[in-house]
Amino acid sequence: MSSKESQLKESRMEQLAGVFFALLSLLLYFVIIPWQIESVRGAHPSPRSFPEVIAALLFVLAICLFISGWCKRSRPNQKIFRMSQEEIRQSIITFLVMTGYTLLLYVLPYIPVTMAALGVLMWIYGQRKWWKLSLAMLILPPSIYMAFTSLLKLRLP
Amino acid sequence: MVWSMLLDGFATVSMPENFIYLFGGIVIGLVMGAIPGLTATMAIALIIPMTYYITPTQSLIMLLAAYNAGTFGGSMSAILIATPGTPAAAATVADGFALAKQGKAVKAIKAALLASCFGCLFSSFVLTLIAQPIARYALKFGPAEYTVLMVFSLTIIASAAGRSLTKGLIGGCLGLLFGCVGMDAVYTTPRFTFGVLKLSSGIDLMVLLIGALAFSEVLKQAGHVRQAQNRPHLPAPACKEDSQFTRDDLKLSWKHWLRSSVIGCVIGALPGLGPALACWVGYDAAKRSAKHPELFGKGAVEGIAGAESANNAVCGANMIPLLSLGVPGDTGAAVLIGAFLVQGLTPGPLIFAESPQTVYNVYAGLILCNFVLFGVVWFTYRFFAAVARLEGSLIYPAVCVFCLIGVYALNSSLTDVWIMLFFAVVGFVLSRLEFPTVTMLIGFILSPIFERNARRALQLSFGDYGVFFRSPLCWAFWVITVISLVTILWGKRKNRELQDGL
Repeated sequence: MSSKESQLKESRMEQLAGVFFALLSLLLYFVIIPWQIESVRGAHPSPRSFPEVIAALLFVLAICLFISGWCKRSRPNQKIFRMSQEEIRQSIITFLVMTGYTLLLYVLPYIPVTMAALGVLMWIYGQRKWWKLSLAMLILPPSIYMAFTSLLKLRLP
Repeated sequence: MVWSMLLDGFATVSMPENFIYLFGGIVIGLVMGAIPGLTATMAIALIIPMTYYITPTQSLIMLLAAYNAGTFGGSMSAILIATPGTPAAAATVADGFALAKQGKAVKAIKAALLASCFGCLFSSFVLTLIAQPIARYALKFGPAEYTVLMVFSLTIIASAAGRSLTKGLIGGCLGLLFGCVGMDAVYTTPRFTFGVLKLSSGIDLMVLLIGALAFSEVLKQAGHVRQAQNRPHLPAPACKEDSQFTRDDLKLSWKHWLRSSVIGCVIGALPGLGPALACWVGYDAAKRSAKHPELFGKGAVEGIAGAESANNAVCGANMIPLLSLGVPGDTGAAVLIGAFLVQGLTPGPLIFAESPQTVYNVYAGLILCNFVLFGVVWFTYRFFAAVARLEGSLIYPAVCVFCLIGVYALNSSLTDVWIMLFFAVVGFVLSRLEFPTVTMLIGFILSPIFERNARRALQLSFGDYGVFFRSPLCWAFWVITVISLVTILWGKRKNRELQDGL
C-alpha cells in the first residue's frame, strides 16, 4: 500500500468547508432559487420561501463553521483528516466502474454486464483466485436476475 | 384492546407465509451484522428492494428482524475477531474478545445473545405500551406545534450525531434542501428540477438512502479492502463450563440487563442518539455498579451484559418517536420510514387509526424475532466465525451490485441509479469530513412535513411568525429543545472522556 497520503488539519478543513458552504448558500439564494423556482405573486409563504430560509440558515452556519476553524487554528492537538493515495484511487476507481456499469446497462443486457462489473471490482479489490472470481461471476448475477424477474416480476435492463 | 390486537399480531406473524420473512430477515441481518464494515442499517437498506411486492406486515417484520439481528450480529465479530461488526458492538470488543482469548468464546456469545434478546424484548414491551398514548396526544398538535416539533427533532439529532453541532445542522440543511426538489405542494410549480422530468416527482427516499448510506460506505471501505485481515487464533475451551452460560453468570448479569435496557430505551426514544452511544453508556453503567470493576476489559460477563442489552434495547425504543410522531430517531429508523412509505403507510400518529393491526403485527414481530434470533444463534454460532472472516473483495462488489439493482427495481429507471451515484459521492465526502450523514437523511425525511406545517401555520396566522411562540405546547417544545441540547452536548463531552478512559 502506498505510504503517500493527503492530510488536512481540522481547523483548515472547517475553514475550507465554511467557505464552500457559504458560497453554495449564496449561489442558492441569488442564482439557483430565482432560476429554478418560479415566483408566485401575492403568495405568502411562496414556493421560494422555505428554500430561501434554509439557504440563509446555511450561510449563517457556514460562517459559524469558518469561525470555529479559525479559532482552532493554533490549537496543538487537532484532529488530522488523512486519506492515502491508495484509498483515494480505489474510491475513484470503484465509482468509475459503477458509472461504466450503469452506462453499459443502457445498451447491453443485465447478466453479462453485471458479470463483468463484478469481476472487475473483485479484481480491483485484490481477489486473484480464479475459482472465487468465476464462482461469484457465474452464480451471483443469474441468481439476482432470477430473483427479481421470477419472484418480484420486475423487468431488468 | 391492546392485548387482543397484540395476540392477533402474534397469530398473523406466526403464519408460515409471514414467519418465513421474519426468519429470512434474521438470517440476513445476522450475516451482514457479523461482517465488519456492513452495518444493520445497511442490511435493511439493501433488503428493502426485495420487499416492494410483499405485504406491509411481511416487509416490516422482515426489516425489523434484520435490524435487531444485525445489531446483535456485530457482537459476533467483536467477540471472535476483535473487530466490531457494527459501531453498536464497539463496547463488546474489550470483554468479549478477552473471554474468547481465554477459550470462552462460546460463553461470550451466549452472554451477548441473552443480553441482546432481553434488551430488545424489554424495549418492545415499552414500545407496545407507550407509543399509542403518545400518538393519541400528538393528534392534538396543530401546524405550529408540529413545526416546532420538527425544529426540536432536527436540533436534537444534529447535536447528538457527530462531534460538531454546526456540522450536524449543515447536514440537516442539506437534507431539507434535497427534500424541496420536485413540485411545490401548494402551487405545483417545479423546484430544483433543472429540466429533468424525473425530478419533478421529487427524489425518492430509497434512492437517497441506498446512495448515501450503502454505496457511500463501499466507497469509504474501498481503500481498505486490500489490507490483510487479522485472524487471531483462539484457544479451545479448557472445560465444559467455559462454553456455558452458568447460573452464576446469570446472577451476575440480570441486574445489568435490566439497567442497560432502561438506558437503551431512553436513548432510543430520544431522536438522534442511537445504539452506538447506548452501548458505551450501558457499559459504563455496568462498570460503575459492578462488584469487581477492575475485571472489566479482562473478560467480564457483566461488561457484555451492560453493552449488549443497551444497544439492542434501542431497536424497539427508536420505533417510539417513529410510530407516534413520525420522527425517525436514527439512521435505522430513517431507513424504516422508507420501508413504511414504500408500503403506502405514513408513520406518525395517524398510523394507529389508519392501519392499527399492521402496527400490532409489527410489535408482535419485534417480540417474536428475539425468540427466533435466540434459537438461530444458539444452533449456528460456529458458522459465524467463518462469516466474520469473509473477504471484503467478495462482499463489497456484491454490495455494489445490490445497490444498483435495488435502486433500479424501485421505478425500473436508470435515472434513479445516477441520482443514487450522486448521493453516494455526497455521502462519501460528508462522512470523510465528519459531517453526520444521518442529519442529512433525517432532514430530507422531515423536509416536506416541516414545510407543509410551517406554511399552514403562517397561512392561518396571516403571516404572523409569532404563531410559533403562542401556544403553551410550542413554548414547552422550545424549552425542551434548549434543555435537551444542553444535556446532550454535556453528555457527549462526558461520553468522549469515558471512551478515552476505557
